[in-house]
Amino acid sequence: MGRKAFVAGIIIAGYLIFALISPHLLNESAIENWHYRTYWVDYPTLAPPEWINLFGKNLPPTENVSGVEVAPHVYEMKYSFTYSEFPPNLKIKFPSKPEGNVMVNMTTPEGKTYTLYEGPILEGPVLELNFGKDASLIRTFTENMGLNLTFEEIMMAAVSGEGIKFLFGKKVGDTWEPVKGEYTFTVKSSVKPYMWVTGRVYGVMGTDAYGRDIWQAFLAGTRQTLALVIITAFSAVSLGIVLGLLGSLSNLAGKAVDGLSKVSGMLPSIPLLVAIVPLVSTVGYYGNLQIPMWAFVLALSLILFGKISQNVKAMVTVEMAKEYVESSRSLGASELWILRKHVLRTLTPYAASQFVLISAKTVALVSLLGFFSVVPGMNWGTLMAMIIVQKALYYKAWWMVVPVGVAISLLAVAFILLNMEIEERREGFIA
Amino acid sequence: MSRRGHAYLKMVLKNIVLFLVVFLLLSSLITLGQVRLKSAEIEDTYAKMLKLIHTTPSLQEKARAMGMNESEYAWYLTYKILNVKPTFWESFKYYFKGAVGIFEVKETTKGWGITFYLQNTFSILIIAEAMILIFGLYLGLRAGYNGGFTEKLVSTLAPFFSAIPAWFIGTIVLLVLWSLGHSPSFWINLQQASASGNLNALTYLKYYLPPAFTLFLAMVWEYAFSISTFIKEEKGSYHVVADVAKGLPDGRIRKKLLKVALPSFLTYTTYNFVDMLMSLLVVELVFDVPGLGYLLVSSFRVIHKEPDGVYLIYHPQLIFFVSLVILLLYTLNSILMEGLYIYLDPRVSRRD
Repeated sequence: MGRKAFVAGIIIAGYLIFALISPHLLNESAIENWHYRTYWVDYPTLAPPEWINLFGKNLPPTENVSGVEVAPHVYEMKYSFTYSEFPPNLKIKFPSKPEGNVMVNMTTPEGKTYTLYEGPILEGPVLELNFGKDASLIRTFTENMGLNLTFEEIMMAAVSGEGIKFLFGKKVGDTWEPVKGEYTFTVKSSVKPYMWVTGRVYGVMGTDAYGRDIWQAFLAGTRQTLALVIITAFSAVSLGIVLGLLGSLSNLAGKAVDGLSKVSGMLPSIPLLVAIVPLVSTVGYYGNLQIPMWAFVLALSLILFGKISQNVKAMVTVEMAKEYVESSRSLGASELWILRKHVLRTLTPYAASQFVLISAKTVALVSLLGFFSVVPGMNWGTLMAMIIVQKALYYKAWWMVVPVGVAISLLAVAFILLNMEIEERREGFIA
Repeated sequence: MSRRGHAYLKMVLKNIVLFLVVFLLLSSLITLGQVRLKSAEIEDTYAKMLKLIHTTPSLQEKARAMGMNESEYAWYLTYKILNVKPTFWESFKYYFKGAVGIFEVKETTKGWGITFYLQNTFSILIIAEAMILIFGLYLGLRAGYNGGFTEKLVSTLAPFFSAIPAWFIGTIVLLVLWSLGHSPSFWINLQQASASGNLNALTYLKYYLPPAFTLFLAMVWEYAFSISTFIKEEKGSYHVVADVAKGLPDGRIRKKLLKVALPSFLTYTTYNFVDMLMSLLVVELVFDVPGLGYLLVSSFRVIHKEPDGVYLIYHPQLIFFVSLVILLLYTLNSILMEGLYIYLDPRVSRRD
């Protein structure tokens, strides 16, 4: 095996293994609720990945701290705040409505204890205390902490979601500086609470403008992207070979195949898909557009088969004029038998090379068409659509683009390397 | 007619027929899509129109004047409101008119006429092609003739850049520009220049450069590689060996090779024209350039409007227009390139 094939093999194998294990890493409910905005309301929006903290940043991650029962109906949650910036929000959430009043105390790293809230949890779709954005709660706990804030300061903090700075900070001049250390939240409640800290970084690949976990979309998209690539490449190469073979059988069929190939080469992929989508798609739950995979594969196959069929036709015509074919003919072999037994075999290396090349092209096309929201289901192209709809690049949300771009490019490079190796061997064989 | 003239005519006719076939195919798809999307609304609109006509004497008079009863007039209004024609051919004619009528649009959502979008796409395309031609020829010639580092560079980068999507290269260019303190948004830059009264041809050129450079970076290596392969083959041919034996200086031999290599650009651009255009549509989106890509992305979208739910935005005219322009460009490019090929390569004219 050549070096190129070895490198390509390792990369492709890596992707296949990743595609196999990705369903086990996937959070199914995240994908089911991908288009349901309320599901993602507690997640940080446009948060970079957590690993950026390894490169000099010190931003708070998103955390879910479960309450530990330290006495009957008294729960304790510890939050170690050691970051350079305040988290955007902190909520104490209750899985069901607590009976009677709840009381929330916070002990600071200096050992001071404040009562942040005492009262009922109001009935509603969410049972929680929102310390970052609830103006009334901000007023209550800042008063209890002895901070003399004006009405405007409280309202500004609530509107811009900055109430947390009053919990974990102290005023130095005009700004609020973080007070680092361990904060203990004690909750008296009939229901076991948990604490949700919305961070400024999230997960492996960060979040988008709606707070959605990009890593989950990447995991869910890997399998489908690979499936799309393989099915499209197989379909385009098969179509190209069948039409190329047919075209070589008679002059008229040959001209027809030539014409079809030229039409195929001229079809502009993006307008064609944009034109097809309203014809075949349906609107699913949460208003997302559902495009059937067959339509996508068919359209791409129609765009990609042209050059293959023309080359196959030329190759078959050359092969059919060779002496061994003439001998077979004189021995009574039919054209179809000759095609099946002799010619098809000589086409195999070319088919393999084209399969790999078309795979590389399809990977790029999936991402390209994703920008125009004309790719089916959840794949890497879907992530591209998010970039455009959410103007991610102009929020400098590189994490929405670069990792997926690298993944797409690496896969395409592997296919190109493999194709180069096949081509080199084919040329060596022919020579 | 001369043999060459016959070859020209055949080539032009072939390209026109191809254009018509693809154009009809795309137009039919766009028309069918419109009919499908509107079919659900037809019944509702018809009922509303019938009720309106029944209660509005002025509309009843209009119906009578047109020789229609209330029901016929309600259908007429329904089709008119929803831009749907009763037959496929009628619909087709309607959308064709709509597509052509787009040239009369004075302003679009971004406040500019339709020619502005065309100007942006064409300008970037021309700048990118010129850059690819100049640098690609230089690199290819150097790599093919001298070998060494340039050859290694070109042969290594060509497969990599052919695999990396142009939008990704655009993203990297954009992030680099931003980190260097340059705003990469064409649209914002243009508005700022317009507001400060500095909008001139040079300003445009400056803002066209990042997307054009992206296309150049994505495509130049493959072109240089094909030139270098061609030059390597040509270097071994008798006429070059004879020139070397004659002791001609390197510069003159290279000049001769350049003349031979120049027509290969025609083949390269013809083969890669659609790919290049498709990449350009996406690169435009990356750099926020109002061009054909922007028109296409605005042509069909699903948007959420609380509390009503989901709205489908569909502008068949835009898809039609963009398809028409791309196909025209492709056809013109093919005619030009194949025509030049016939003109430059005497073997082609002899064969035909």
